[in-house]
Amino acid sequence: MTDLEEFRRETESKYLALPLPKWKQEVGGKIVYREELKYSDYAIPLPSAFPKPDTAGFALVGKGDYVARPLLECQGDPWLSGELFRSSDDKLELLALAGWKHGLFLDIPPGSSAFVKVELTEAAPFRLIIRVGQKASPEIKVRYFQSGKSVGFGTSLLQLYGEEGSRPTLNVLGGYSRVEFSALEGRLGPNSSTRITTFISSGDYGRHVGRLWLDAGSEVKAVVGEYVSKNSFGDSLFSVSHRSASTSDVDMRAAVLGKGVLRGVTKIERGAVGSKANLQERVLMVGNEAKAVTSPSLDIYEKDVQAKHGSWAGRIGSNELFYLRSRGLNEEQAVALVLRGLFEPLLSVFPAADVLGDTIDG
Amino acid sequence: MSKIFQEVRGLNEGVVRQLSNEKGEPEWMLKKRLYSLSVFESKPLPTWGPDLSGLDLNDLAYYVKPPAQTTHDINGLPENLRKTFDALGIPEAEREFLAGNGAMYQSEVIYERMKDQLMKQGVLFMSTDEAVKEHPELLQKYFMTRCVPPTYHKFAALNGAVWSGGTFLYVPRGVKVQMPVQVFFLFDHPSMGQFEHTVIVAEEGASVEYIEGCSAPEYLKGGLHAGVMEIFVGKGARVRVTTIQNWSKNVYNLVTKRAIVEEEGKMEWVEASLGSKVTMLYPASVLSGRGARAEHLYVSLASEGQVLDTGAKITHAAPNTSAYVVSKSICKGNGRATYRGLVRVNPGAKGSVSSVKCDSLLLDSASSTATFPAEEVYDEDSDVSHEASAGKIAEEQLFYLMSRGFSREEAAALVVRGFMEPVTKKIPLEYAVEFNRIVDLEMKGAVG
Amino acid sequence: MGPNGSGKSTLALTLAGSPDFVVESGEATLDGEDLLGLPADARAKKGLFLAFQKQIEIPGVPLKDMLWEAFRARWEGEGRPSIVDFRKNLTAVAQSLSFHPSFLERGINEGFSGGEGKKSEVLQMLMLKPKVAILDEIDSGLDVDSLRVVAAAVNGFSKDCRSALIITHHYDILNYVTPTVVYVMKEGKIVDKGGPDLAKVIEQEGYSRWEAS
Repeated sequence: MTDLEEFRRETESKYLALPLPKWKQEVGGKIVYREELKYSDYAIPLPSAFPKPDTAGFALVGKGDYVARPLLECQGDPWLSGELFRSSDDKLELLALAGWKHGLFLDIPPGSSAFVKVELTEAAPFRLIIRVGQKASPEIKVRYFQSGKSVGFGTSLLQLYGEEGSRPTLNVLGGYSRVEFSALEGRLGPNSSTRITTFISSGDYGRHVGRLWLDAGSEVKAVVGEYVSKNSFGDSLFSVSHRSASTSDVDMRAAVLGKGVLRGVTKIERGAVGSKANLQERVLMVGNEAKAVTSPSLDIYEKDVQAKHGSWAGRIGSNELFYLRSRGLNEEQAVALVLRGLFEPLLSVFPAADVLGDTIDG
Repeated sequence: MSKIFQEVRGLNEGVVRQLSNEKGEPEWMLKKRLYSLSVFESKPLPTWGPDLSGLDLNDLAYYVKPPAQTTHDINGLPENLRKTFDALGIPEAEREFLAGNGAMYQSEVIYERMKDQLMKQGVLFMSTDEAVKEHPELLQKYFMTRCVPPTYHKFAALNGAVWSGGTFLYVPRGVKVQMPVQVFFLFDHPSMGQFEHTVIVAEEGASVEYIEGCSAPEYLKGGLHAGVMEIFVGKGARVRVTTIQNWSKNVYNLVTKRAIVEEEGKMEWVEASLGSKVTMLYPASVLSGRGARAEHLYVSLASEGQVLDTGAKITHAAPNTSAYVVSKSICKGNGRATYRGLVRVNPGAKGSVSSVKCDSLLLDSASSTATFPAEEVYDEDSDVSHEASAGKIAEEQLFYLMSRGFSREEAAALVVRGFMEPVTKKIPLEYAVEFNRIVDLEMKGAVG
Repeated sequence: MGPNGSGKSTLALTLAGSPDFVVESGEATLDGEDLLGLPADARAKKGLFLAFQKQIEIPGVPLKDMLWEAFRARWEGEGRPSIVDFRKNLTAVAQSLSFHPSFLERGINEGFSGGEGKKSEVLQMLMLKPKVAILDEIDSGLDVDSLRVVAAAVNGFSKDCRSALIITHHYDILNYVTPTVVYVMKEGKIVDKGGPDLAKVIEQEGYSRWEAS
């Protein structure tokens, strides 16, 4: 048995023994338990065993200089072993770290400007680790989106490591299972410049976490989109930590027909002199069953910074609706147009049919 | 004159019974106190906010009984309070004080002057202790019933058990009180707990303004101030409460303030926080009638060793309600100011509009700030927004003023004044002058 | 004068004592007294004034209050006008600039349009009466009427034995104000000096005469 297989077996036991978290939330660096919308309200149980991992599951298309290897074949790699054998005391985090079926390591060598498209071919839990070498400026598209969610339960873990001076562009289109826990982590190295655009349309119940750690001189611009359909629950947390002078601009937008939660967290540590952070949350509520919770937070330990955030939640203004209808559009068409406007920055990156698919039908 | 206080430390049923007994309270109040005590004992200390580990609830004097009807002269007052009276233009000769119940002092003369005018209009203005005896039916209706019940949280329950003093202000239908009603709270004893309980009721169409100043001289061992304020704003009524808090920097200031606002009523909270070691202050407005409005204006200055944790809790529970919150905080030294707010729009609260703006200015490298707002919108027919910013005074603003001849320090003081202006302009002039003076003092040497 | 990016604003800001620039060598004096060793407020008290090109907003600090404080601080000795007289004078000056008096109550430059911002700077110059006023792009963003009014203010100001250094890269204001000396800056250096005719040349030929060879 390989080291990895043994690790997975041990971790599986640990996972099974851990209790299900009561829905916990991060508020100002502390974990707070909130009772609203418990996971157990949705009748899909967590897996009772880890799936057997394999080397398939991804379709890759690309050009330029890059290497892609299944994670199963990477256990000997000194750089990766720290990550591959990482554990956790959190049941769901453990599942994402060790309970994947498909695992891939995408390595972009220094200086490369590769273009890579990664698509999940089988709806199953996966883990994708991307390393972007020094001064590389790749464009990476990851798609694990399926509009008809065939699978009950899924997790996804996407980890981006940007080395010094790297300039990656990462686009992620997600949402493949009815109950989904997804995580995106970015460790952005010194003087790196990163563009991230994500769109998740989850099934009945989705919890999505994005975490970025910024090193000195780095900057990131992220647009995070979410669509929460009627009778569904979607909770997106996006957290940015400035460890030294760095710049972040995060734009979270959601169209919510069910219940949507948007939590943006900006943390600036002492010594991160000259950091600039801007985080905006915008939730458009559609239909009278829509409910939204926004919670943008700032935790600032350094005075020599410029930090700001804003949030807005509401519905399409009656004036806007009236204007569009006075041009001959019916209500559904008008709503679809406004949603198109809301998701406009995403439409240049993802196929409109995927972003607006559910909405075009009304 | 010496002050002879009988003090009892620690809290148990015996202390509560003794307290109630000495006040000569009716059975219903004793029952309420005992119930509150049991709630207090069952709840844990909150851990989601500032660190309260330095607070030893067993080592406080929960009831201090002063000699009855003692008059205190101005020399016993702390400096800042004396200056406030100067600013208010109250002549020296009139500054004699009536000890109410050991924890709250009111100027007898102002009180007397006001009382006559108010009584003519049918306004009731007295200490809460007196109200228990003289207007029990009225008080029973409002005291810890639907506004701040003992179960609200641990420190509300504590107050319910050992409350003493506070104001009962009742304004009947249609009466508009012209002059603001002013009250001062003063700690006068080391390790004392202060638990005043104020109830303000404005009936339909009434309007009143209430101003509170709080202060305490420096003592080695800090005390606990766990006051409660319950406010009932009737249909079309208007209530404004202004609090200038300047407790000494070793006091734990954990207060509960809540207002229920009926149809077309308006509640205004103006909070200036300067003192205390730890403040947890989250005035709440429940907009329970159509068209009800709330305005929360906060300004705080967190200096060395202070943690000021404030926020607004707004509940939109009816259609067409609106709320407006502005919070301005300044942190210097290793002071930390945090905004922790919640805006909730209930299902059915159509047409609700809410906007929150909180800004923090950090003056020193050890200063820190955080904002943790939450907006829970359960009706899509609403417009809820929030904006926050944090940073230091912009160099270019300092340079601009210096190029007009102001020194760096003077320039910083000007920028800070301008920063607080949206809130300070709502504070009555005499208090605003005093407030600005204290801020200027704190600002000296603050900008390197 | 000089093309965009020639360093004119940098020079103005450095003379006024901006914290963004460090002087490595050279000197600047006002009436023989060194300026570079002094902080910005000391330079202002010595009689230097800068009308900023980029509008700086200071919300919540009323313009009239700031002006009174600044004015009061530099008046030594007897005969200082009372605040009432100062306010009267301020209102009169504002009117002469077609600067709405309500703007005096607002935070400094708070929500001002470009033109109003420039007038605010000129108003301050007229009230504080410096020995030397550096006017950085005071003409940009002004309509014809405002330009005339501002130019009249500058002319009146300079008649009072005071000097103004006008920084501009286009000609318009020079239709109303006749300069005594014209300096041309290019790429951070002064490349030419002349009389009002030099300005005329620039109006007709642009800056091509000083193209790098």
